Amino acid sequence: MALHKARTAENRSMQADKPPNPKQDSERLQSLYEDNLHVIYRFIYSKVGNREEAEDLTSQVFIKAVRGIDSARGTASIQSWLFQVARTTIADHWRSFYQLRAHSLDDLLEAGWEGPAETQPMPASATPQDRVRRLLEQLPEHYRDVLTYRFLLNLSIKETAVRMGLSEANVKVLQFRALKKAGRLELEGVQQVAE
Amino acid sequence: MGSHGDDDNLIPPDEPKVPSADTVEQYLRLHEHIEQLRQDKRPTRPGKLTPEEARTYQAAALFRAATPGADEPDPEFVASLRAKLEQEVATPTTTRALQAARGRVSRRGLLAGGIGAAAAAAIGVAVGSALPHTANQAAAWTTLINPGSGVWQAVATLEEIPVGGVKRFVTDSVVGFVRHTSEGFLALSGACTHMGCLLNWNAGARTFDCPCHGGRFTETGMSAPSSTVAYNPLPAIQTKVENGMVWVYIVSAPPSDTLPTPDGTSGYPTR
Repeated sequence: MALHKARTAENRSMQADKPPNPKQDSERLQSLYEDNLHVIYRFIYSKVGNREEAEDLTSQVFIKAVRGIDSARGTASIQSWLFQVARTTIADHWRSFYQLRAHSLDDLLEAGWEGPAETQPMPASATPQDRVRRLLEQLPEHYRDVLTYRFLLNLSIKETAVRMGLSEANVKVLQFRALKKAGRLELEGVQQVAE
Repeated sequence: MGSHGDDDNLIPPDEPKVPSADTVEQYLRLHEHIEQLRQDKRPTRPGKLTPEEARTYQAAALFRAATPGADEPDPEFVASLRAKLEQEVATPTTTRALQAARGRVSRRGLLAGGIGAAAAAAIGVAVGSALPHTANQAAAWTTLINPGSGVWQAVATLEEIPVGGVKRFVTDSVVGFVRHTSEGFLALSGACTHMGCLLNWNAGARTFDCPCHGGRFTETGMSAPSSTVAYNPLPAIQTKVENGMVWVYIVSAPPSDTLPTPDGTSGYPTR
């Protein structure tokens, strides 16, 4: 009998915090997905740089979001909550990919992180294209050139070498150093914003 | 990598030649990585990186995202993820079971669920007992549930378990593990065949360890050499892949008045 009572109480509390309403669920999914998919996908892409992983991680974020959508109640905006989910998902992914400790990930995650903007729409300046443009402006000319050819124009090592009048091996060295410098500039940018 | 010690030839004419400890290996490794990104392929792990190296790789990802058109999601992906999410919303069992597993059900309640899984395992034993169970006959244990008497339930998305990965799942009737192997997705009961305690996945040793009496099972469900006693293999659970999800074939959820209750008592008949 005591068992029966406990169970009834459990049923009641389940109903209280979860009114079954498929229609409402589906509408919420609609707004969750349609409004945010592109912006979350691009954010993730700018962190992994390839479609396979971007699709994987985006799926993970939205599946987590759908399962936990009730916990988003009371969050100022669905979008900033989704960014938080994306952030932890990326952090988990990097932890294994780069085999880094958690605290080393913080700087990486700060770059291009728009979460604290809360209800405001994403600032236009936050797109990868804009961040890249800002970085290019700060880089020495030959670094700027190699990255422009390789990434913005999507040219092969060979084509880049021809245009820059360098050997292919030279281009590999140059792109390494240019990205290393760009990585440092990003970090400095993050640290300045934080101050 | 035959150019060891020949670093100077690689350095572009107007670059400083001395003040860098970068190695040819580093150049080539990053180059490989960039080429994989340019093909939109999941890159191979670069191995353990320093934070500075990780930032370099991050910069590569950022610049790749600035390649015109690169960070535009594939319409096919957009549509298939939407379908998956709709299914997720429409499948209350998955959502509720997962939420229950995370929050509402106590540990003792889960152990009670484990007894249910053990009961299911016992059925498996009955079915399999006509066959000799030697160690390499895992297939004999696959018929856990008679066809027609179970239900298919989605327990994972394809993406969330990489090859070699293992994911624990909890349904109303069974606790188990889905493994992504080179042969596809396979599932095992997650209850020890000794007394039905719930097994833990030990990612280091790649074994399922029983917290109760030291039972250990290999990732294929056979009793591990390091097990205290060689217990019967873990029953396999039938799986299928459909709509981007991994499904398991399990007994239908017991009627609600036999569900484990929050106080840890079980509604299953005791023997």
